[in-house]
Amino acid sequence: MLEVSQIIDKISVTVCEGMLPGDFQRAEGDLDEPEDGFVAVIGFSGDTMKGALGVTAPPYAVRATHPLAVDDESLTNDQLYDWLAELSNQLLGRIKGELMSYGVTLWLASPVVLRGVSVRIVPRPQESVHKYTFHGHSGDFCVWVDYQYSASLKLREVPEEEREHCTAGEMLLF
Amino acid sequence: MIGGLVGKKVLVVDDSVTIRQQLRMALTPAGYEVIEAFDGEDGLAKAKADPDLAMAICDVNMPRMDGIEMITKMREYGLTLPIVMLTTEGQPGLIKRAKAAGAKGWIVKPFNATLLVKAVDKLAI
Repeated sequence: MLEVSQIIDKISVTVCEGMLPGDFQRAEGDLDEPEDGFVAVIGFSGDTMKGALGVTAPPYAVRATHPLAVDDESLTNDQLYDWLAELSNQLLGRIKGELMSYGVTLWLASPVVLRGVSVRIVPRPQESVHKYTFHGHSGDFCVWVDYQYSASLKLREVPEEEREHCTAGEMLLF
Repeated sequence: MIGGLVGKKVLVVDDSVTIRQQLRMALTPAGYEVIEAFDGEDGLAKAKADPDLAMAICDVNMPRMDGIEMITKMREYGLTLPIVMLTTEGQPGLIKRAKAAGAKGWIVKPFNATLLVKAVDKLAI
């Protein structure tokens, strides 16, 4: 059986790679700390796990991932804040969906967006913060997941035929 | 003209302006008129005010009033327009609650624009 952290690492990287445009490549270690940084944070909780997901990026990198970036310069800061909040929501929604395949149910809070100078993530002593960095032409994206889980939590993959939840992109009509 | 019928109105309820714009970009070329609302309360008010709405697409988690509560209140008010949920959520319990409240469909974000328009073509009254 895989460790909880291994599974969450694998899920987080896969989800980020699936959502960020192709020119953002996974990078190891700490990358640039943007002088002007946007941060979205969204909390989650469940019976066996709780924590928060954050996304940190400079405005140009947020702009580069915006789904309506037909004319980059026309996007206002408010539109970028909104998109970063939605991106964090969708990233965590996908992670949540993947974790449901392991029998873990989470509830998500609403995202908040902050803007600051020299934004960086300061790891806490218990090393519960897991960072995933992605380098792109327009700047670096850092996604971090800060989580704690109960000692009794064992992740076992739910057989496909027993899964009832919907995953990203699925549509049901009643 | 691709897809839907000219002039049918679709109410789009989401607290993210990006999602509302994405929906507008998907539905307008298909001939639909998009009416935007930014949360459940706003959506409910706009649905009450416009008897010509052909359907609604609605987020689940929103400030002030969530999407399932909005459907419940619409049905209590006597509004019968078809409503499809568009959300990052995929939990069976929530899907069952939405269905019981009167939702006609459930889409997990991010959405495929072609499939979404097909669903609207099928459900819009």
